[in-house]
Amino acid sequence: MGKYLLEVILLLSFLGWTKAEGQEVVVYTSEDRLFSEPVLKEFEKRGGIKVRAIYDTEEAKSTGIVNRLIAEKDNPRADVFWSGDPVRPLLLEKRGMLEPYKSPHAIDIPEIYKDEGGGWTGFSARTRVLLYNKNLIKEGEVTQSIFDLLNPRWKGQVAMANPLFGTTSIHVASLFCVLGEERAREFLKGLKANGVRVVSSNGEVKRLVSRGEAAVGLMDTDDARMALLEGRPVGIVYPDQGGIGTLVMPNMVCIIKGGPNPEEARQLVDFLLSEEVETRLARAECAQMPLRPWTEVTRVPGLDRLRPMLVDYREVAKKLEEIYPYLKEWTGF
Amino acid sequence: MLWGSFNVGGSPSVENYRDVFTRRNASFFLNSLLLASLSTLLATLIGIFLGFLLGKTDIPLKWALRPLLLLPFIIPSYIYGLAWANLLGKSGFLNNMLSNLPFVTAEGISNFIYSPFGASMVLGLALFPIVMVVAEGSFIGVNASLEEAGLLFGGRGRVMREVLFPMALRGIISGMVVVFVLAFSEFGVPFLLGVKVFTTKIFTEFSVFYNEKTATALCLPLVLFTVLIMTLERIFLGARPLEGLARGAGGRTYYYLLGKGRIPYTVACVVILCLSVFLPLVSLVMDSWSLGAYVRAFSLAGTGMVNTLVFGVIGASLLTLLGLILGYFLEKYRLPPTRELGFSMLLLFAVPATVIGVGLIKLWNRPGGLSQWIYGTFAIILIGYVVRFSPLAVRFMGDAYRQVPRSISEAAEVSGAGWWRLMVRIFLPLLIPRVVMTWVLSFIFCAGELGTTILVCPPGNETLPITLFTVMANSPAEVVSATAIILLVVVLLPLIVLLVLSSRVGRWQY
Repeated sequence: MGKYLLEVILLLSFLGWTKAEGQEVVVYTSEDRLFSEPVLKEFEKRGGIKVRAIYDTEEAKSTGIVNRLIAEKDNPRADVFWSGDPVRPLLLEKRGMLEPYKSPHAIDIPEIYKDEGGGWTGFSARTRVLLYNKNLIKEGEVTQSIFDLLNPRWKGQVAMANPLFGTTSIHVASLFCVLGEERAREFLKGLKANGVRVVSSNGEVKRLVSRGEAAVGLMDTDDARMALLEGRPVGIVYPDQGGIGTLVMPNMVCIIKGGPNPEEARQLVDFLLSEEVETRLARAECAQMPLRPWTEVTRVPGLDRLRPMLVDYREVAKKLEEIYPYLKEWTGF
Repeated sequence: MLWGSFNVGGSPSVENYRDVFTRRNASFFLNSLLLASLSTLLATLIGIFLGFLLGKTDIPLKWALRPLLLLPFIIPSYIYGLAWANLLGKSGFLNNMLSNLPFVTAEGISNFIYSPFGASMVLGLALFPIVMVVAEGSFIGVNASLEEAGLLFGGRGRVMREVLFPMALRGIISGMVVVFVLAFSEFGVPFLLGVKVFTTKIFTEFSVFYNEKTATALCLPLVLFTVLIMTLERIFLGARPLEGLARGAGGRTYYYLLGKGRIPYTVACVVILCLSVFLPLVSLVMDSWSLGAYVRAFSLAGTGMVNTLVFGVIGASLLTLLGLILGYFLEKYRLPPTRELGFSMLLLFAVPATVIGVGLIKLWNRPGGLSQWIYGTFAIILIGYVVRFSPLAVRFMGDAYRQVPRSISEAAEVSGAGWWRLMVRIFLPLLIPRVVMTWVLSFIFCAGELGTTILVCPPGNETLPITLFTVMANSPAEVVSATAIILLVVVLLPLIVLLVLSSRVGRWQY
């Protein structure tokens, strides 16, 4: 047994080490770690409150933190959920897991991005974009609309992520809201007929377009930005600026009901909703778009210069649940 | 605890099970079956070949080959799949090379890698180290005097066919079953390569519908199927000779000298090494490379490195100890209750990591008291490791006990030796190679665990696989590959130390 003595001692010391001291706040976030971690570190530095975070993987790689939040429902361990998309908080809302809080910092955030009851509040957004490979498509021939993807010219050259998961599912549900059931189904059917490649994640779409294994693909602004930063031969198009607009997806933050540190949770939410964090996220590699229209952005067009798709996120979440059976059928899952 | 995590959310009603057996699910199931069978076949062929060379011959460079050949299994399978998709995709380096050959098109190769066959190749290559390690251990364990006796009557080929392989078969099949179940329950690689398998179904229920009840119900076919496989294995192995391992008596292993064959066999090993390790690794690293990426990856990996090492070591030791004790009671006493326990434990192995994770949360995340404390600390990670991988450890150790001739332990008992003495003086010395092997495999499993750990690990702390997979979202490819390389090194280092040490102390060698 002597063999294990050392390990037992190590274990005990580690257990002691992980015990929390002083003020802290527990945050679960599905915003990419690359971008959320620096923001949380900054908060920690500022207020002297220790941030204990759990980051999520992309949807397609583990079943992640929303499952954990739901499983922990009866004895919540998280104080704050920082969602990278506008739909997941609504899943928690539906299960009665959110503690309403109207942050004073959110006053200048446009109403459409806030829950009137204070359950969740949006900030910094991404939009859906088209990424194309410049070696395969000349500048002049670039598609300006997602509906062009049905053109036989792009047969077998379009990639998109599985519409059952992540932002792609939100995008498709929004199309159902905006276009109506029939036209949306027709669009999806057309994509399939045109040999669209359905892959595991937006990151996979980025990889395929970057390497020229697909000519054009649908993804989020941050994926597309990273492809540019990696120096790949790619270009970005904000689709349908003359038509239905492109989907805007803000981050959302909410407080978990019954979390262990409610006061610190409010402080963190205040910080996340501040103009400063929006500016930070706009300047970071992901170049997220501030919801406050006057905040300066340089790397991407500001939201005030884009035509957004006009949707109500709660309706999108509801629609998403409605169309799941159809999407399952469509993807063959 | 085991049962608790098994019965996620109490007993699911029939409602959840109604949709389990549909036609579409059947086609998914067949895909899973195809994938698992082909990858097991590939893993077995390579594994036995290498296991034999490493364990029973005088092939040179063993000290280097042994740890390096473990690498495909250490690389997280998702990353391994990604590397192969890079290599064989339309613009891949290997694709470009191969498509110059006659009858091969770039399109064809790309289609191959994104098919059940491509996914089987990737999984077969990723999992052969399990068969290799187990086969090597079993070969070494065969009593040298039996082989020598055989050699008096027949050639080497005949001894291998009639003595060595039948003796080692139990161990090899054990490894094959593990590979089969792993490939059957694998999610990452088939999902990446667009192959629709049964586990995708379970994943979708969790990840899209947050429907834990249906997801748990969907595990039923997985579990049933594993029962079937293991029952078959039992029936098949029931009639096999048990007493193979008596090398401890003389401490000897018979070696087949390769003579002139040394060079071609070494070349074959190196080719396998290149195909399964260097090519994918190089594609990972070369895809994008910078020193800055490693600096960044290091700062991200920070505590994750220490945690992975410490908890991997503790987890592997716990598992080995558990295997040593439970394996003994399961195989030596074979009392009905322990036997049932052993059987049901093995079923756990077929349950997906997420289901176990959610089960553990339900069980341990309770207000106040001990459970609150456990759930908030690293103890829960260790519990996760034990629940997920104890079936493996117990099975590997149990198999080893079976190979110890009964006469030895009976002789000791007759002479008045108690349990402790029997263990320390008889079994441990005989089983040391197996213990080392079980530890090595357990360590790799623990250090790479993602699915359960991410659900239960205390906020603010993490292990390297979690770092890797959370960093993967949107980080530059170079940082991702740098983090993957760091994970490899962290897992490989203790193994190299152990393997070098064990080959110094000859009789530890598995």
